[in-house]
Amino acid sequence: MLSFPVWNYGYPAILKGFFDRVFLPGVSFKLVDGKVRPTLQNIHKLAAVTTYGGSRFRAMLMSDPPRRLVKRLLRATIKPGAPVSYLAHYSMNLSTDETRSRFIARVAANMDAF
Amino acid sequence: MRALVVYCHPVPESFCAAIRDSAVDVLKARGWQVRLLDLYAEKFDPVMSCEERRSYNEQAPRDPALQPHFELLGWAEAIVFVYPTWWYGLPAMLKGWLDRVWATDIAFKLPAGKGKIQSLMTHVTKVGVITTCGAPTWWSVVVGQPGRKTLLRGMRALCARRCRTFFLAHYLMDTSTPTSRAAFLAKVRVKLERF
Repeated sequence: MLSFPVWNYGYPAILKGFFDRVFLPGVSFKLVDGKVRPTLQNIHKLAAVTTYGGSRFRAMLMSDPPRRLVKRLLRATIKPGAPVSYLAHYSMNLSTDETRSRFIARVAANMDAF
Repeated sequence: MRALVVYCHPVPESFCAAIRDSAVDVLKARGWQVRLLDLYAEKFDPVMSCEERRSYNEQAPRDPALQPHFELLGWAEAIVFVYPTWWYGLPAMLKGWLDRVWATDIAFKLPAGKGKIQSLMTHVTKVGVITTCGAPTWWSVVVGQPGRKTLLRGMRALCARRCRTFFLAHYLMDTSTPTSRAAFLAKVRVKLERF
């Protein structure tokens, strides 16, 4: 389960550095005849919980890189067919107690069913 | 034209270093003023601290180490990024530079309530991206080219309305050859001569 804020339409540097430094050959993939083969089949489920300062629309204009990274790249890295959920609170800068507690409830419900 | 070349690679003898040298050469030969920012050489700290995040929405960061970077952002009319693509995106070092330096009251002003972000970067009229990438082109496109989108949509949105951009990538870097690399450097030169 990944939990992070989206900054500048991407992971915070410290999380990006986690992928850069930990997702290594022999750890998350191996090279077979020069081709990359993912090796994290031990991971059966993946969820990302995140917040965006801007709106979903604005994130879509930027083609929402973190959403794609989770739903495409990480999905392809773990067990084939494993469920992947992406839960995002957009427009955080305009969030209220109500939107935040609704989001927390959504995350909780999702984790219950995880 | 005042150009800032943002270079981000930990290995001095990397191919990215050759790209950087070609880029600086061409821009200088055009009579541009060029300043080079080498993030690893100057040991930039890409990690935003708790205090910095707490005050992020209120004011520009106070860390004295960031002040020369703010000055560079204010000075530049063109920015050229040179970096290796890792996991389809920017190296953490470069991502952290964007997160910490393109900050409130430096790169943009936040509206009090609803309303649009006001850009403070409209003096930047050109943004170029030159990168190397292990993956093939098609898979990079499927993953959505996050590095390209972050820079040329996300950050570019803060620059001048008619900001010119380009993106050059040497894909399949792991199977690159001296010929493919030389051809790419030639492409970089041609691109920058017309930039």
